[in-house]
Amino acid sequence: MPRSLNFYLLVVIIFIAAVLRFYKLASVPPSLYWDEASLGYNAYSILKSARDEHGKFLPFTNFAAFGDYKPPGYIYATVPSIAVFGLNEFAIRFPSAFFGVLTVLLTYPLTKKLLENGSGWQSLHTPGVRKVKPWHTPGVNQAGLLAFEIRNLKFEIGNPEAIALLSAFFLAISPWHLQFSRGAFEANLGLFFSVLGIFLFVKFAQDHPLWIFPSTLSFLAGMYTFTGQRLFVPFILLILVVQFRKQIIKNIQVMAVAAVIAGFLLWPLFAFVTQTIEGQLRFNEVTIFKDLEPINQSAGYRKRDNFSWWANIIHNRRLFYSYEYLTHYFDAFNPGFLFTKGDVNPRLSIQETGELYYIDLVLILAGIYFLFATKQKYRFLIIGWLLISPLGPATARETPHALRMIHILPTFQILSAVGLYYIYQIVKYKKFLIIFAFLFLIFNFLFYLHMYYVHWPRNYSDQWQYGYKQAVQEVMPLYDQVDQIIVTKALGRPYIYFLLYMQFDPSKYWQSAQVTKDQFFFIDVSGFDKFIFSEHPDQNPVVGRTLYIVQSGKLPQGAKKLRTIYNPSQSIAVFDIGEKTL
Amino acid sequence: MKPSNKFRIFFIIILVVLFGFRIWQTTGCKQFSSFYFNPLSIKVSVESNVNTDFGMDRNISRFFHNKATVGIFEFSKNFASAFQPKLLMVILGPVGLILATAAFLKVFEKRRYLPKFHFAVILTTSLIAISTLNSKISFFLLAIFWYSFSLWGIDFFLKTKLAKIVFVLLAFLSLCYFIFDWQMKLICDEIFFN
Repeated sequence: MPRSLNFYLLVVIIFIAAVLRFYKLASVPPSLYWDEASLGYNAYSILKSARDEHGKFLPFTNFAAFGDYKPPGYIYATVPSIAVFGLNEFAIRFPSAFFGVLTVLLTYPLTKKLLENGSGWQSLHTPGVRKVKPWHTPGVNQAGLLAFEIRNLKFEIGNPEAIALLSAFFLAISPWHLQFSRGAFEANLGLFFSVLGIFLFVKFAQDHPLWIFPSTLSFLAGMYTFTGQRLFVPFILLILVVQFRKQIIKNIQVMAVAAVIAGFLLWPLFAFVTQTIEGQLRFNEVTIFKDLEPINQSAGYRKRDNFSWWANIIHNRRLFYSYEYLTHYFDAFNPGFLFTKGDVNPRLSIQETGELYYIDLVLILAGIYFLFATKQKYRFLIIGWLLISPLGPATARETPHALRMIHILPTFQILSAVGLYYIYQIVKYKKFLIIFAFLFLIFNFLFYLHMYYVHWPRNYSDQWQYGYKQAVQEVMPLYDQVDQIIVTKALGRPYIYFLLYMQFDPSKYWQSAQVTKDQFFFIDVSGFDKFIFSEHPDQNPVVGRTLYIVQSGKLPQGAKKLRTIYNPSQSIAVFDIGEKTL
Repeated sequence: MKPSNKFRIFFIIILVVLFGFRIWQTTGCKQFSSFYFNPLSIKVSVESNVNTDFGMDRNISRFFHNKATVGIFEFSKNFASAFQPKLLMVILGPVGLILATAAFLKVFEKRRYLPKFHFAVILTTSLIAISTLNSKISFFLLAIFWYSFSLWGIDFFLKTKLAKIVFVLLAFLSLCYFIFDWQMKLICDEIFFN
């Protein structure tokens, strides 16, 4: 009975995770933002031609896309879903939602592995541990198992199992994880690979040395999927190496082979990132270390002190950068970000709740305490994982950043689960605790869902470039009847939406695309086929019958308005569609 | 006197001087930044959220957006702002922030009631800070209790010789930081010395 109960509970959790990730997946978020559209069309292009949108054959290290040189992982993962579901929002977001559910599932065995060998636990596998005395109220029986009754059926769950189930449940309903599981975010797929890599590494240390090979491949897949993983994997590997140093020394030959394979497979990416301008540009664009302001400040202060030797020490630019980095690092643990407001970017959070629930504040603090108080064997690994996660994102200008720091999950959920489990053990009024915690969490959760499904799409549809799909739908029936279509660039990267929603044949696109690359290596498409994308649509010459898709109120003189496209709450006009004939 | 106690006293003196310097800097502050939580924001938020719920049953909308729930959410947002790491960095400097983190771990130690009480005082002070209009008093209350709380973390730097050296370096770094960050933008809306 205890074993099957665990199984059924896990099934229920996975079911909840799947419903929360797949329900209205195509319509909330309200539309595809440009990176999602780009991922989708590149995957479609691979499916149709084995080439990316620019005609490059099966890219291995990057997809040029808008000149942001996207990692290839998510695009290749989207190819099968587009093949099955067609080129639409659901198919493009499917891999993220699917691997989001798998991450929830993976959290269960990972947490179990991290906790069952701890000195503070009694494992279910310990002989005789099932021989427990009868009980009548919820609580922990003499064998240290969580014990309770439902309709005269007696259940018992071992500590690691209960905590693992709670961790999986907390991740299933986590606003942070849900946000990224419901959009085509490479980061979410990257998270799955890093969690899998860590789990397999623990299996390598605990079960069999050969697990190191799939673990290596998982970490590599993560690095080929999301750029943030490239700054996370080396640090987490360091933590894993310190934690499992004995097992590594014992299996040094297997480790050496895995390292050689990893080096071989990583080399193309390493070469791209370190030896090409394209590979370095995007990092240089976001990092604080390329910001010249600290150098200016340093020079200003030193000048004021007549460039004295002591001024050179006190106002050294490295100190300015260190300060900046330290501030950005601690930003990751900003309580406002974690518990009340979330990420400031409306695409990365719904703005009304934190990345975690309020109750997590108490549970995480309790979890950290009990992790140390019960002298958990792998406490260093769990806390190390938590502390190293912001090291990479802290190098960026915008902090705290929920997307770049997503690999911190599910450490918060594991800590919350440990906290809840032990608080439950020590409090006197267990029923009261359960009812209070449950009601508090449920209200928080329902509030989050309400804000996510009702308010967020209405308030922030512009952040998801709402309106492009509706514009394409308006244009498509007229496509054969017009000579040219002029589209404003004011809302950014329009070409990708016309390629995507018209399911434009990639080979035809390559023939007619007018593509330019600027000095920052950003790629601009100024037209293809009948389309012209322009900053100033009214200045383009009219040829025959011309359709316009422009910002509201900006139709050229003499153009006849055909339709206005509004945002979801019908309060703001996004596009005016009009026509003019010469 | 034990050598570790000598170092403890030495470190406390350094910190008192360092934090005293920061407090002295704030005497130039003519207008302190406010943490004040305006209860009017609750009413505004309720109205705005209910309006966004057009087409929805009013009772459901009111279940989520009423004075009680919005009050808790808005209040906690303000309360959390008193714990922003950026703000604590400006008040405590790098050394103080690391000390406060180390002190925070002491709150969880068994049978150590004074750090727990001290942290409870900080929570109360933050509560006062968001409830009072006098931003100057709010700041000084917060600063003094954070400074005293961070002293609990000194043990962290007494363990090894390397840790002691790191402490001195961090203290020096903090002094440099305090000197160049004399405008203290997160603390002072307006600063000038006569």
